[in-house]
Amino acid sequence: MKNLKLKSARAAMDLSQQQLAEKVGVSRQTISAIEKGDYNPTVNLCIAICKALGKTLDELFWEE
Amino acid sequence: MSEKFINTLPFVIAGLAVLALVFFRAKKQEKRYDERQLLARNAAFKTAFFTLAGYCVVCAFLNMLGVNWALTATQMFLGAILSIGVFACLCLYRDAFFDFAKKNQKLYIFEMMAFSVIQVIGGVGMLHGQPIWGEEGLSFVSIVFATALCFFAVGVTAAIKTYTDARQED
Repeated sequence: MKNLKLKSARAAMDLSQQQLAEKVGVSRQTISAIEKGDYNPTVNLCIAICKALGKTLDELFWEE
Repeated sequence: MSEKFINTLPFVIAGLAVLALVFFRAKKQEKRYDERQLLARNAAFKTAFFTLAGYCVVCAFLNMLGVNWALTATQMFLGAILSIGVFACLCLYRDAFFDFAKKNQKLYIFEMMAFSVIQVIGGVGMLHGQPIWGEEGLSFVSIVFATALCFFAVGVTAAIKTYTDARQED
């Protein structure tokens, strides 16, 4: 399932996939894969992304 | 101490030094991959291993049936080239190859295609007018052509990956 919350949070901060990837310390393709729902990140990576975007885990990764 | 032991000792030390070097280099390179890339690389390793295993089974089966399609050494090298090719292509396609950075992509494609052409030219030169399929099946030169095919496949995969990466980038 696509992670639209992550994509919109990234867009809200005006960050490209590459810029977010550099902040988090992963490759751009990894961010792309998470947004497309092709890859389930570990909790550590989720936390790193949340910190980079100033969001909580619930806001970015919790599905209702 | 026996003379044999003293003669062997430098080789043992050199062997251990090489092993230590390989281990520390591998440790260092691990940091160049992120978690998804490590998983993708492991998956590529697994696929390459099972490709090689499948190839060995097919070769053994053909041997049992008495089909001598190539010398054992040729079969062995072809299997190794096949599995390395599968591993390299999968690593590239799943973005688990650290040297395939954006700045290297075009150079990488060019290198692979150039290596492929060089191998074909070298292979044709090595044939000396002899057919590639002789009495003993595939000649040893087929390894050179298999290598060329492997380089070509890697080059094509790199080109596809470059194209899909450029499209995905936002």
